[in-house]
Amino acid sequence: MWKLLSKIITTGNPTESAKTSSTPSDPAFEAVGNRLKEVIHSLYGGRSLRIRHVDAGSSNAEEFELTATGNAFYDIERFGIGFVASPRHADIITVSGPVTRNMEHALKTAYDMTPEPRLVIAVGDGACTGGIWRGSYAMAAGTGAAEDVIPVDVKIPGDPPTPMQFIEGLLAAISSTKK
Amino acid sequence: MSLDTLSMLILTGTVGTLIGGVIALFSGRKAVANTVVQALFAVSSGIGLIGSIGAFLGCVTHTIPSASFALSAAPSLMTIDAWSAAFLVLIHLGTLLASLFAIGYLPSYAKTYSFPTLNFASALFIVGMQATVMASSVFAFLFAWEMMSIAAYFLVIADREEASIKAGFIYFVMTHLGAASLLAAFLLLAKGDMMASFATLHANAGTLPMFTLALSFFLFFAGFGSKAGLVPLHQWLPYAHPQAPSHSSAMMSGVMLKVAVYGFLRIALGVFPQIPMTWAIIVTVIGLLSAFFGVLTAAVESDLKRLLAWSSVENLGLIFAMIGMGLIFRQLGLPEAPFFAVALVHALNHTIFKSGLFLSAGAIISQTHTRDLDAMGGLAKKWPAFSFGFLGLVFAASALPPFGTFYGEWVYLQQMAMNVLKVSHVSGFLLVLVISVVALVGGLAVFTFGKVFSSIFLSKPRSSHADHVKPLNGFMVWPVMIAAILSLFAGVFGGALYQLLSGVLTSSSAVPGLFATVSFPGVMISPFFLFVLFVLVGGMVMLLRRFGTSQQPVRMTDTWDCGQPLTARMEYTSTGFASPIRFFFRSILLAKNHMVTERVTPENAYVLRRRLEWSVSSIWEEWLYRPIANAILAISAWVKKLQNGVIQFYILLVLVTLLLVLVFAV
Amino acid sequence: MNFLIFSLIQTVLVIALAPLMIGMIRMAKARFQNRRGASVFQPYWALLTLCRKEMTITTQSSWVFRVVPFVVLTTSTVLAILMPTLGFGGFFAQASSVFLIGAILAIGSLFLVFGGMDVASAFGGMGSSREMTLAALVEPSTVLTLVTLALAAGSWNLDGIFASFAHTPWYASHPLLILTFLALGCVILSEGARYPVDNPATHLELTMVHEAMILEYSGPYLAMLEMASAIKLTVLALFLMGLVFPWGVVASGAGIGAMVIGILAMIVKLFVAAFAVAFIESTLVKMRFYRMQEYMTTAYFLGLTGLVLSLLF
Repeated sequence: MWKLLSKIITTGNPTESAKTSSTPSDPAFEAVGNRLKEVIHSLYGGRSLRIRHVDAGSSNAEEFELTATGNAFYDIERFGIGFVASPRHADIITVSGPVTRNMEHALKTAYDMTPEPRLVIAVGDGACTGGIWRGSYAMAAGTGAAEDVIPVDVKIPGDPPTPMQFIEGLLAAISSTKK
Repeated sequence: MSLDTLSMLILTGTVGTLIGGVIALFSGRKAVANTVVQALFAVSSGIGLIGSIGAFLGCVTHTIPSASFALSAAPSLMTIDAWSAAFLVLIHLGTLLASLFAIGYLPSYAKTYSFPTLNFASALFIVGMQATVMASSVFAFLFAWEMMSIAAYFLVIADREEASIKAGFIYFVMTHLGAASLLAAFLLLAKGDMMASFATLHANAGTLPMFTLALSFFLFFAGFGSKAGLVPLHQWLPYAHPQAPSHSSAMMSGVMLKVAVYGFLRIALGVFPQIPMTWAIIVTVIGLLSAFFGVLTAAVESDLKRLLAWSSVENLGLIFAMIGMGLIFRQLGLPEAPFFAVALVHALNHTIFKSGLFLSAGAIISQTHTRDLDAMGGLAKKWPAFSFGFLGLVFAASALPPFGTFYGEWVYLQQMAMNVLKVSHVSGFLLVLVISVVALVGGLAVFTFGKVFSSIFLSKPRSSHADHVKPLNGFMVWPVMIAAILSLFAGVFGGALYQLLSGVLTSSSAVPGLFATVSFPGVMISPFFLFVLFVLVGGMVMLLRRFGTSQQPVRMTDTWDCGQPLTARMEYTSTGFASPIRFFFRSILLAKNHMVTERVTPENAYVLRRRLEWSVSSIWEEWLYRPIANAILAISAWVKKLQNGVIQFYILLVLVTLLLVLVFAV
Repeated sequence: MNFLIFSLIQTVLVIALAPLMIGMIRMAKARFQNRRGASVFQPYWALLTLCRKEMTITTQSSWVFRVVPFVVLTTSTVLAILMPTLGFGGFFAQASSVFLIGAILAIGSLFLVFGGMDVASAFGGMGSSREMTLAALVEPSTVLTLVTLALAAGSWNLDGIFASFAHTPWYASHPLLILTFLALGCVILSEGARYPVDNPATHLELTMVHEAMILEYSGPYLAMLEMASAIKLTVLALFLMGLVFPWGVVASGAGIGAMVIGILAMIVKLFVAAFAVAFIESTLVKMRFYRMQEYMTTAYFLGLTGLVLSLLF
């Protein structure tokens, strides 16, 4: 335990500050993040956004990137965004991967039980178009694109999209449908 | 009301029940006859209830001569005092609910039960219980006790199934062991006089040597304890109670067990001049052990009625632990009256909620056609009102506020805790241990009844019978509702109830106000106030929800289970729910899990199927009953060697016997 | 009247600070992970958002499912009313019996369990079974620790215990009560569904206890349940902090100045408690559920040792 504590103390805080970035940082990410924070703040009185991620058959590349958004470097929690365990708790559903037949029902029910107002974001090429699997026999609705299964508000292309692209997409999604 | 009116009312209750039984015997197997008989039982119990409440109030407030008043019909056999009256109230209440319920319940079992014998046995059973608590002499007591016990045997075997007859046999053996020890104990105290009254016994007890007293006390304890289902003599109870028709189970578990409590209280407080410390400690420890084993087994049991029977073992254990603690405190010279009062409070509450629970079990089983909790589920959607009533009973059984049982246990714990510092360090430490055992029992009771409610009423039905239940007959719903409402009242007005029942022991002559509190030095408990607090806060929460949050209409969707189609096989069953308890207490429950692998052929590696088998067994059965049974069998087998069919050998035996007789005679 | 106003202030304050406590724990945890973390006020925004959202309910549920949030929030609020947190001598002082608290907690657990079982999913059932087991096994330790405190303080309601320790701090009269406080801490971690008993931040259904039971709630009902769990944790934590650090504990008749100091002290204590919880959650791992009896017996025997030692010496 002491080893861990000393590690915590000596490592310092690698998350770059939103205002003054002394450590190596990604100013562009900060800028987008802060805009996102502002938008979330102006969002129907609430200032929190909860995401339920549905992996509808992806190669897990998108999941790695989404996990990275929560790490000490990106730390999107500070913008008021959090991942939750149940679609009923969520405001946003993110879909990754081409929608396979096996996950079609799961995706539909997850969408169905998300309370209004809700947004759906397709993350990655697979979810946007079906990607290289488009038209395969295993794909739901013939294509594998998420929008053919449930209504999609915003698509974030990339295989996988970077955390930066992800929060830009989030920003676009929220700004496009300001409720 | 005058003394004559009251004794008239009580007598009418008894005679009415008897008449009902006789009518039943001659009126055939028609449903109408059953309705008439049960209605007669109910009316008689109602009249008796009014009479016994009047008698109780009269005795407590001393408007009726304090010691006792005799029934004009049989003054030397039957008398009623405050104790009898208190238990008469309890008996009449239980039989009233059960008879009302039977009107709606029995007709659907016309093929299973023979109404004439069943109802006749019920009448004898009820009258036996009433007579036992009114008896004033050894003979009357034992006669009534046997009438109750034997009638109960016919209730157990009423459906004449194999399982019932086996259960009936176990019951018969145990109850007669109990009756035999009672008889022996009474004869020891009465110096062989069967007609001695309790007053004579008390006088005799002062003169008898200590050893005789101890012997008779423990024979009494064994006799009453075996009827009340205390460990290790509890083994019959979970077999016998579930086999009887549900309204009879309600009477057996709800009422008959209390008659044993009555007997023990009467003997321990009224006959023995004093109970030494060691005896009192034994009573308490046995009570606590019963409570713990009862609730632990109930927690892992999946047969609804057997679970309720185990819960009766728990509650009776608690009542005996309360009485035992009272006896201990009397020896210590500390205030003991609250313990006996609280034992009465708990007995009354247990009668109400356990009758209600057994009756609802009858209603549920009549529709789901199974006693297995694993095959129920989803009934709350079909019977919303009934499930609400059941929830009340679940609260009462879990000893949660604002229900009456909670205040009983509260006073018990409080009274023990307050005296921890007044006794020696070791005794104080032991008192705290008792407190935490009672807390553990309480926690496990919450677990048990949380499991019961969830398995029966919540989630999806797990069998087609449970899926297609019909609406319940009103006669089956209302007794359950009444029991739930009475349990709630016993809690909301728990202070008044406690003070009223304390009147049995103390010489207070005032009837307490409805909103009375329970006070100890430095502590005041106001059940009514707490109830009001809960209601007010609940109301505020509802207002907040109404005006503080969004009022958009609710959208109904599927259950979130990560996208699989939902089936009832995915649910937690009662067995699954109890799995952690089975694991944590595996050494006490003797719980075993093992994987059974079936192969195509024994040598072949291909596995046909695998299944997990688990079992729970009783420590008492394994470590006490089985060794005794094995020893008896072994001795019998050894003795059997004598019986080898060789005639010369028998003649030799006769010769040896003769020689021995000669030797000893000379 | 004075007493009533004091109780009112205390209750409102605790309820108002409850989400802050959760926010502070999350913030401290983020700092332990070298992140910046969300604002400490984030739980407030989350609750507000939930209150304004639509509700979706499963078709499998019965009336019980809809009653659960009301009962659970009621029990938590009653706890906040009864238990002393800011100070002692409130209107409900007489009613805060040491044996009542366990029962009120059990009602809350029981209804959460019903909510989890009513939805017919395996997740809800699993969470329910575990929660019920924990609630049953923690009961002896709850009663034992509270009885020990009551014996040491010479009062049978929590309010009196609070008052007694404010007058003569435990480290002066019964220093060995520290074991009892440790046991009470174990109880509070279990009741508050925190590490090492439960993982409040998990997304993996198999590791959930409390979260698994509320998976099916959404919108205002979810807000009520989250609020209830926050209030429960805050009340219990503040009660323990008030006993361990009896500084700035307010008597009900105190003036404005003492009141302000008391409230400030309470917020500081809240911060310390949040830091302690975050510290535990960052340094310990969650225990396997089937080893929970070790945790519970540890708590119990800690409490028992505390009792024996503090009564003897």
